[in-house]
Amino acid sequence: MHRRDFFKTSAAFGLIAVLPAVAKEGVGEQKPTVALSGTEFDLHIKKTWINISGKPVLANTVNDMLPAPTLRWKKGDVVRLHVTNHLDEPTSLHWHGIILPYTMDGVPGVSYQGIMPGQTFVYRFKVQQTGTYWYHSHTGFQEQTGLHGAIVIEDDIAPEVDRDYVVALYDWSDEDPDTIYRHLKVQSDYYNYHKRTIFDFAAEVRRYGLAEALRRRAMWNRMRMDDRDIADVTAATYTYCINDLQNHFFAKSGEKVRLRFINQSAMTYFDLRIPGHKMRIIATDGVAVKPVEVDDIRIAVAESYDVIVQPRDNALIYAEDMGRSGKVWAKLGPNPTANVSLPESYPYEPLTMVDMGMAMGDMKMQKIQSHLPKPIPRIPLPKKEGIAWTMRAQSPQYRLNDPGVGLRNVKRKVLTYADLETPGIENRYPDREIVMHLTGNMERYVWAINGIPYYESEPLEFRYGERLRVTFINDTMMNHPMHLHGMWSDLEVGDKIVRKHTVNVQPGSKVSLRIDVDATGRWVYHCHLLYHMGGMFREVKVLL
Amino acid sequence: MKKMLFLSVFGIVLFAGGGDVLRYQVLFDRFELQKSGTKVWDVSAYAGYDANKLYLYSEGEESSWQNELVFSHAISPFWDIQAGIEIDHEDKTKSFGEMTLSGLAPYWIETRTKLLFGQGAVGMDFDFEYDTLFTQRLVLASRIESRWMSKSIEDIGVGEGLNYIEAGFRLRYEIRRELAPYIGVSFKRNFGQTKRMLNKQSNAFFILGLRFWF
Repeated sequence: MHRRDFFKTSAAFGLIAVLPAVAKEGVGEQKPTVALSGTEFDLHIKKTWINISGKPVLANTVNDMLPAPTLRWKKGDVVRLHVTNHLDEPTSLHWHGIILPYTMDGVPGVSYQGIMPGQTFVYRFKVQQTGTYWYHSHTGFQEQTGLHGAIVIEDDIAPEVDRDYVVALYDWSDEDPDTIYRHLKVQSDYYNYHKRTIFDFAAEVRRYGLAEALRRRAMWNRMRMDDRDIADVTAATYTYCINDLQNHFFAKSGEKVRLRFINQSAMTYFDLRIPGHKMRIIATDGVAVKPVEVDDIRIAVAESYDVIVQPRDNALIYAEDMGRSGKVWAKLGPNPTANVSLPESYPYEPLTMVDMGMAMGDMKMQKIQSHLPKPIPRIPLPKKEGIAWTMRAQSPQYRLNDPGVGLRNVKRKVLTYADLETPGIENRYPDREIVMHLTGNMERYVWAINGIPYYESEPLEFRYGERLRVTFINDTMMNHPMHLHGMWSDLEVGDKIVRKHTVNVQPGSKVSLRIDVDATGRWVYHCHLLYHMGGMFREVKVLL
Repeated sequence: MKKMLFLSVFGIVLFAGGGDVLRYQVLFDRFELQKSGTKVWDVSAYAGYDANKLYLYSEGEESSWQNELVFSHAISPFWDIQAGIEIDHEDKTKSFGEMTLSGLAPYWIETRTKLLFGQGAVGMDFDFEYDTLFTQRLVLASRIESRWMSKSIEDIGVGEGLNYIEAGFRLRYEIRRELAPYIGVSFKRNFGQTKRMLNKQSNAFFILGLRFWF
């Protein structure tokens, strides 16, 4: 089996030709995604025929469902999940955002060995929280091949609603994820069909005059940074999906509907709206927030938002990717066959100097900064200059109230982190601080932390019982959703906090968060963009 | 040993997904027919990792060609240093050692600047390329190439001093990233001893070609 895995790995990058997987015993047909509840769960990871693009292809699924079955748990229950691997490669399931013993966390090589072909692994842990979460494979690129689903844990005091739906958003590709990764490595703009053309420059010359247009381009050109590089992977290969291609959510006019948006994408940030309706945000990443009403939400990869809407007649849930390459929608209302017109897509916007980490310039954003009246020790981490550290944000800001590129000029209320607050959490003063630069090289498609990719790194060391402050400085022009396993991230928004499991760090910006190190064992801290994970990834050791 | 190899590959690929994985590319950057009937190729192929790669370059036209085999090491975000051998053929075959700086210069110019040493001579090669997008798929590749040699090497038609300057403009249409037919023009002007040796001053051609990679 060792030998075979080695050859499979080589084959994935085309060095050894392999035949496509042939239909074999145990390959299923796709079933509608259902909810499972109770305390005992039988989950079978297997090959399944699915058809999203119009052509049948093999996916990896849980119980033949894509997304995987929704798991409904109750706080206080001890759940047992029997996960059987019917694939011919190792697999795993990770419970994203769930507080549990590290040996149940499902990260191969850190929590356990993974689940080998033919084996069953039994996860067993006590449910200690409530809210909306998700689960996915943490093995290689398997998450992209269909292994992701929702977790719903009953609220202690549920808001009164008439309907309650999970809305899982994800990006499907018929291409093998190893192929996608190779394309990015060989030509990093492979999927970018929004590149700058000579006509864009001509338009700038007309608008600003030649000298000014050249001056505006100069810094980008000297730095070899591309202002059109919003996303690495786009609808050039992806089909954007909601649930099992669900295109209608039933609700009577005026009913209160709770939508649990979960971004289960490998790489795609979605801009979400329900045209003509306000969305009342009641929770993010499973944790209740002070309710706030917004028109638009940008949902980073791996985040979740619970919202309440009251659809009038037939409404529309509409989502487009941040790079405006594709969209997906579903109706929300009494009539599945109602004629609902699609809204206009928001215009494409290139990145700006702000996204490069330059001073704010003409952008009017009040500075939101938390105060640390008493200095705390800052623990130095190893850094490495080199190929994985192309750019440095010259003056990175806390841009918590920045809606982000593409949403800055929509003139609607776009949710930002500055709008959120988690009530009822003691915001202890931090004991120590670490600073991590999110670094990368778009030309070579290399991602790292402090210039050091994961495979050359030492684990981060947290101390049990401490309140650790983590500051991320994003020295790249991409968003990175940073996810810590096993412990909450209390994002600093001024003197308030927002409790999250995944914190988006905007291009050229910084964020600070605080962690109660209240779990023991070995964990991981990483960017949740699937094709960044190979480098922008750290093991975390909690020292007793 | 085998176990170590397995562990490193297994660890990187299955644990984190991706990372520094072995990969390769074979690029036929120019594969073309010039109006004179001359068939021209310009191929680069590599296998390797983020920092270290093995490159094979081959460029030529029927009876005249240059092949290089170099080890390429990334020294900074945009630059690689390459060391290896170049074998040139024109009537006869001669080999050189080479040291090359390859990378992306500011303003998105792909460059290779090569130092050649061998046959009692020292030479320099320059190669600059720039892509201009008309649309997302219609791309003009502009290219300029030149060679200078400290002393003449008659066997391969290389003269002392500046040998030639060649400029090409190729307009390609990317049917997909991997496949792009193109049309273009190419100008070449020989200088000094080289011009006399090859008995050719300059030429200009229309070109029909295919750029493809796998």
